[in-house]
Amino acid sequence: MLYLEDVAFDYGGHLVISSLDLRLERGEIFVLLGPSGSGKSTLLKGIAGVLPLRAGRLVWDGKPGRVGLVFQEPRLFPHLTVVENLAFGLRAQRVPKRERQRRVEAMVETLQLTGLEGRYPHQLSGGQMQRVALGRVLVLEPDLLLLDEPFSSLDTPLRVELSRWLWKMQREKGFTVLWVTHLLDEAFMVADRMGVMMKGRLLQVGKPLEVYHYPGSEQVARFFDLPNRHPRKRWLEWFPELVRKRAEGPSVNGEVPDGEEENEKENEMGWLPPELIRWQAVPAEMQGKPAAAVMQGRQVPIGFPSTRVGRVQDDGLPEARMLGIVKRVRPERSGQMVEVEAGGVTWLIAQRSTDPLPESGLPVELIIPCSEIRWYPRACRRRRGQSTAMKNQGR
Amino acid sequence: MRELPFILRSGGRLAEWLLLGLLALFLLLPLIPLVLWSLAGHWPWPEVWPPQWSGKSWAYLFSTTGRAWEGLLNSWLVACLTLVFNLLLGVPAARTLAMRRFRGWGWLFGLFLAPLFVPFTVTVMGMHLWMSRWPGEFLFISVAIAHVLPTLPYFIAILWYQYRLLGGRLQEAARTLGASSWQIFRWVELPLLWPGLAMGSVLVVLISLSQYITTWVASGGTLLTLPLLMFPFASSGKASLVAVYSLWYMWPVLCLYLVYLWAAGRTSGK
Amino acid sequence: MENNRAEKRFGWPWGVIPAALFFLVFFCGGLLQAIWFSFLPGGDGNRRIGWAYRELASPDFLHSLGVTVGMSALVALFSGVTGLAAAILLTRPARWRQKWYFLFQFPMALPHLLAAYLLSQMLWQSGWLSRLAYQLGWIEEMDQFPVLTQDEWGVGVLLAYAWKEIPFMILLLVPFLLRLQAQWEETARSLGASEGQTLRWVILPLFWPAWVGGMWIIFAFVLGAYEIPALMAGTFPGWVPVRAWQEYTMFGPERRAVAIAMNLVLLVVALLVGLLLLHLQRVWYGRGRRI
Repeated sequence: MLYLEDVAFDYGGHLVISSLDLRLERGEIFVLLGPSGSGKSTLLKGIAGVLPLRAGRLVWDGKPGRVGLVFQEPRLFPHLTVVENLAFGLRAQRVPKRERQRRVEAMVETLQLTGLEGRYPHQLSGGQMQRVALGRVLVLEPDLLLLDEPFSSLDTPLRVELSRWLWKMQREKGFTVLWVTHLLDEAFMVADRMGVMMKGRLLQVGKPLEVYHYPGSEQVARFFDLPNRHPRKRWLEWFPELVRKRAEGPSVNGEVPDGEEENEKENEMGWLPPELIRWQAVPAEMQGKPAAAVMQGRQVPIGFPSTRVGRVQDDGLPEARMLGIVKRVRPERSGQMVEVEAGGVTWLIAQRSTDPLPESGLPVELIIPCSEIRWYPRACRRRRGQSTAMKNQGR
Repeated sequence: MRELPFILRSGGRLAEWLLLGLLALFLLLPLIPLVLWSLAGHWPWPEVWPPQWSGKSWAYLFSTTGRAWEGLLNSWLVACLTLVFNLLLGVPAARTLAMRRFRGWGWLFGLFLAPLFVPFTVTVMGMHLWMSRWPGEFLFISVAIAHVLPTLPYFIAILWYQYRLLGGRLQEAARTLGASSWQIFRWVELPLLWPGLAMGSVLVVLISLSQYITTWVASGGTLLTLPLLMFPFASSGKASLVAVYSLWYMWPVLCLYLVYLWAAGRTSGK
Repeated sequence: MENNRAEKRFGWPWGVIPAALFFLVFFCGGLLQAIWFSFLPGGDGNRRIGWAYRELASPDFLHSLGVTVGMSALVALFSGVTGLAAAILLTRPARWRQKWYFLFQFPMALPHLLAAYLLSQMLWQSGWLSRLAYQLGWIEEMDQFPVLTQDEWGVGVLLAYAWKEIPFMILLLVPFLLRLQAQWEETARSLGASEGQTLRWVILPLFWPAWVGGMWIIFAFVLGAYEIPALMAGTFPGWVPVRAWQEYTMFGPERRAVAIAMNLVLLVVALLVGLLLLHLQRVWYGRGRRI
């Protein structure tokens, strides 16, 4: 629907974004993630036309669509009532009065703000203000809605509620959304596709869980704070027979990308989701001896890309073991996170709230499914003649 | 939403430039005959240019009756004293007003700004009645005190606004690091408030220099600042003399202004 | 509740005490003294309390009062509107006309007395403009040049005040304008508003309190100012400050009460207007327009 080709924007004299490509599909919610200062707001302002384009071009698929921008702060005009604020954009476009009133009234209802029409911004709560800010843009019926961390100033329950509400509205109305946030859970809740942006560059684009599980670089992995992250060399040190020496490409479709030299530098980092590691207590009589075959079985979650269930072991890659000591058990939303010190690093193991809790200081044996290790390159892959981001935006 | 072709602000258009030009002309044009008069001998109507040049007005200015330097020094001495009083009284007041809320805040703020809204002749006469009871020593000081009334409201208002823009967070942070009030003032507030303080100070000096009635009342007409020297010539229409005194008045002010601009340019970000 | 906590922690607001004392002693003290004095019975004993005010109830004085108040309002409005227009023009371009801004400031550095003189020598019938007019062939005799000073319309006075007060307005308004534009430009643009719409619907309404406040300062100032009317206004009916000053200094000590009474009438006018504006500010505050 909208295609940004090699665009550059500056803000306040600095070149914030220098060469960026992005493609937005009609009707999708695209979430742009990234740390603060990465240029996300600048990109939004550039697309909205508030900042000038320094280089490159914005190409619309078909006729140019209407763009609406919602800022981080509500930025309501303090001297206008709720209704007047909502009507502002319509007035600016000289929409006739009756039409204006109709649309504004409908929006007031959608926003669940009936009864507050005559209030001024200083008489509204934070959540109400942000709703008016959203409504002010939505009433203009944009084809592309740009959101700049719209709910970051609100507390969690309100944030979740509004995100859900907005998601529902988007599914009903069908406009495209480019949603900027730095909160991972918000991103996962709404995104159809996700992009990671750092220092003015788009590092990776793809479906949310793809991007998460197969980061395009160590930078991205670090942003997600992926646990149990180690270089291939390390993995090889611990489990020499169980880890492939040579790199493979991402095993999404199982093919090795063509034209690619098998390079040891590629895919030299690997991480393991904490819910895939298991621990078991080392019985006193077992300590010091090689681990026994019997374990408390727990289901290996079905997922990417492995389809193993239960304790069936892969022929080529038996599960690896490592001895360690429990350092700490942290409560999490979905259960607990167990921190185990083993092999000189801290391992994170996620378990459900119904699972037994280990004590701190307990010697345990970790069961590490090496075939589940997600490998990814240390640095962004560069292909001849095309930026990585473009390639990664594949269908 | 339109496809916004990006023009953040249009550059000047002809009408705008014209209007601004007219205003500039209005403000600047009177200076021309001023300079001409200062050097004119006999300059009858309808000559646009003085047919006869003479330095006699300047000679008068620098003669003993002209009191050029005496007037200048008196004016500036009083102005500096006024500035000192403003700083001593105004800075703590502005700071407290901006950073604390207490009962009676509104009344106090109103009190400080009141002289701006009360017709000045009222203030002056009141002051006269009040001060005529007092001994007449320390003439400069009593005149400076009189000058504080028309200057302090502006000073407090400007500084209060600056303090408000500054906020209180930096000082809080400094305090949690163990800084004393005086240290906070010197190392945090002063550097950041500098532009506002400079502007307020320049304004105080300018207002003080231009006082006529205040000085007259407070000194009984004895302290001869430049306005006092000028006024009789102005009311009797001695154009050339007034011109000369005006220019003599203006040159130090111009220097001050240039210094201010230079300092503002050095520390500018805004 | 927060206030009390803060007070307990920091104690009294010490900082305002010196300035407050100063104001109370000199300003309020002087004012109260003046008010009391104006009501005193006169020297001969055959004048009762408040005689000064009764003297003022003459048509003569009322005429002066009318002229003073009317002209002050006119000066305030004229400077306000022109100052606003100039401020807007100065702040519009992308890199605003900063050099012009500094240029327009210079009348602030000169005394009103000087402004009176400068404009006089331009506008007198024997002044510079008149001479230019002659050279351009527009007039032949000095008398043909319009009377602009000491006239009944007060054109010269208006222009002299404008010469000083327009720069004051500009000085007051430009920082506000710049700040408002920086704050609201992006938001208004993102909703599709053009420059003119942003100015009319967002910036000017938010700007109102500051502008009206500035005009009030000018009004109150001109109401009580002496120098310009003394030098440029006609003697009949004369401005109140000039008459008051004459009564105070020239006609003997018995007339001082009258002089003060005249000024106090001005004060009452200024206060009434002030109360009206205060009320307006409250209303605007409730409607979200704050400085």
